[in-house]
Amino acid sequence: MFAGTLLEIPYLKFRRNRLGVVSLAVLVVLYTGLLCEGFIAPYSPNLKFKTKSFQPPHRIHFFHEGQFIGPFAYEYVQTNPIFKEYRTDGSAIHRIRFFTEGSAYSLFFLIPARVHLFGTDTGSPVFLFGTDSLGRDIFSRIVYGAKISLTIGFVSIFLALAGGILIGGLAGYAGGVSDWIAMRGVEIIILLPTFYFFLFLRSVMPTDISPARKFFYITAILAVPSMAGGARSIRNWVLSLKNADYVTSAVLSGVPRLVILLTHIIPQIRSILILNITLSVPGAILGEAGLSFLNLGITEPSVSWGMLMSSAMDINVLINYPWMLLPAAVIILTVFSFFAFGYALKDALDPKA
Amino acid sequence: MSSAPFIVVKDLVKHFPLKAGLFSRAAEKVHAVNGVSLAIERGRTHGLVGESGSGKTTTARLLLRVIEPDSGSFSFGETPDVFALGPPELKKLRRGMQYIFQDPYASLNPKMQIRGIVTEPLRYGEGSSRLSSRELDDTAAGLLERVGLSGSDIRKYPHEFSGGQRQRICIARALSARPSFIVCDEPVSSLDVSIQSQILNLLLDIQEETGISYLFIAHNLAVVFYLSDYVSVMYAGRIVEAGPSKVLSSRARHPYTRLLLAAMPGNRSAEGGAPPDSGEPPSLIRLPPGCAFYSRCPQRSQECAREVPPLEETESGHHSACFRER
Ligand SMILES: Nc1ncnc2c1ncn2[C@@H]1O[C@H](COP(=O)(O)OP(=O)(O)OP(=O)(O)O)[C@@H](O)[C@H]1O
Ligand SMILES: [Mg+2]
Repeated sequence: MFAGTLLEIPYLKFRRNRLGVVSLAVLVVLYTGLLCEGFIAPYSPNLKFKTKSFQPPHRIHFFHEGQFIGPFAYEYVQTNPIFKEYRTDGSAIHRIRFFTEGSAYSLFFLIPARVHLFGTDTGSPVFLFGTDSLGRDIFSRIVYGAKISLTIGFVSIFLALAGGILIGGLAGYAGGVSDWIAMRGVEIIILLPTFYFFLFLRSVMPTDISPARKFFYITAILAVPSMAGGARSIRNWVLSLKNADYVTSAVLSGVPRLVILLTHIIPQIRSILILNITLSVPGAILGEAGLSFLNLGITEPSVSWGMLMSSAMDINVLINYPWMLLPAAVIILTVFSFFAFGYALKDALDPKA
Repeated sequence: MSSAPFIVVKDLVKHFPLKAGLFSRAAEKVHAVNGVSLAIERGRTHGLVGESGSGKTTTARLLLRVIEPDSGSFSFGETPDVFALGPPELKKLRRGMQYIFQDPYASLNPKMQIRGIVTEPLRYGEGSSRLSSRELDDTAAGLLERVGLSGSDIRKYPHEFSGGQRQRICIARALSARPSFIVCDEPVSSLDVSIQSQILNLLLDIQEETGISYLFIAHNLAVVFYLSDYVSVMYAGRIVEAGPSKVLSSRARHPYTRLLLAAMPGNRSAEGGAPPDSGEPPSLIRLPPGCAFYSRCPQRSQECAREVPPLEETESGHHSACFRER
């Protein structure tokens, strides 16, 4: 009933925006992939193929000597272990098979499984995006890196939202000195250049900590700028809505402030908040990428897209092994999809457009 | 009548300080309410009438303590002074008083189901008990039926209702806490004339059943006379005339009341003395030293410019604040 009344028009408008629908589809695929990482990735992210370091991506062929035999890859044989040169062995054929048995993993992080989306009939590895210096499959590493790169954006934005609602809501309600102090603090954070601010916060945090705590710290750091922006806009909304008649009658009925904030004020700005979230997630993803790229974020053995890019931070690598830059393409695709989806959502929710 | 009335408001004053700007002198004030007194008997309706800006809403908001008065007292049933209560006692008392707002579009949260809206006073506030979802549904449906809506509307949202239906929802919400006093702040002034009488009759029916007292605010005399037992006329934050509806409608003494009566539709030439006037009420920031109505009064004398005429009883129960009409 709710969807049929309040959201019907935005839904119809959104459906007409092709770029928005496509980017939503991309995001759905990316996040679904995140859930079944072990299934989609053929290998574990830290599995090293000793003789395959810096191997270029396998080309997928369909015809062998003029004959169609389905998708397969030729064996690439290392000819120069120092300069990592490879030669194609036209006689060794590895056919691509779907739903092959492989290493063990847990599906959806729960169910133990061995079946992978694809593999080869000979069991010899196939590297869609090539390998890195240690002979690890970049495709698998990108798939596993999604877990951190794609969740860090959302987790930090929700952290920012919770903080923003609390700070902005209370400042707007309390008014006076506490409001003034909170808003000046928020403005300082907004005025600081975001990335230097990340670097500053990172530098005051401990370094030798467990990966889980590191993830949490970095998420919190990334949340600060959006929290400041969110607090300011929520505070302004509280100011304009706190004298609404329905808020007055809630106050008279003895509804506690926090409940008023959550049931009477936040719902009025729900679509604005959703929009802000969608448009802030890419910033947090890029922030993580930036920190990890500078080795200040996620570190081995965890995998994130920014961290994968940091190993491409060498002119020799870039020239000789350009596939090392593929994680950047995935980051760009994700960020672009979030923006395209966000703006499509904005148009759909705008009653005047 | 031997015992004191159910509600007695005495000498209510509220001056809003103007925000001091860079070039304006501080300490300037909007004299919104300047010594309002009124009494309401149990189960009766007291009408408060006056033009826009005369301080009616401010008076109502003071009584419910949405805003705090500068001075005055307010006895409510057994409570000697509502203005002296601390937060916990106030919370307890508030269930007994409800407020119906002027604008039925602004007084319902557009993102809340009707069920949540009408049961809100029950779910929070003093003595609220945890109700199951079923109980809330039943209560909400019962309240809606009570005000002439369908019990199956509980899961709808406010935008699915017309202005009159919304005002019924507001009434249902006010009734949920079983109050003994409801302030109705121009509940029908934004509605179609045909709908107005339905809402007024609903309010009358409810009063007959439950014995609730109303403070009924309006700027339309006809509406006030229809509903009220007793009427106070307000001008620039003061009561200028007060008396039983019947007396006031036939024997108004204050020139301002006569002006209002003359302005009633179908009543234009009824009273001789008051010509249709287009005068402005005085500035509430610098009130004149004498009668606030002086600048518009057809019967003014020098005395009126010097001194504020006191509200004096002219016949039993009928009070007027005018030097010329005694
Ligand atoms: N919070 C406030 N701060 C400053 N001035 C105020 C405030 N609330 C009301 N006023 C002023 O007090 C005066 C009386 O306002 P009030 O709303 O009580 O009038 P009213 O009789 O209800 O008018 P209406 O018929 O338009 O509703 C107005 O001049 C208004 O501008
Ligand atoms: Mg008003």
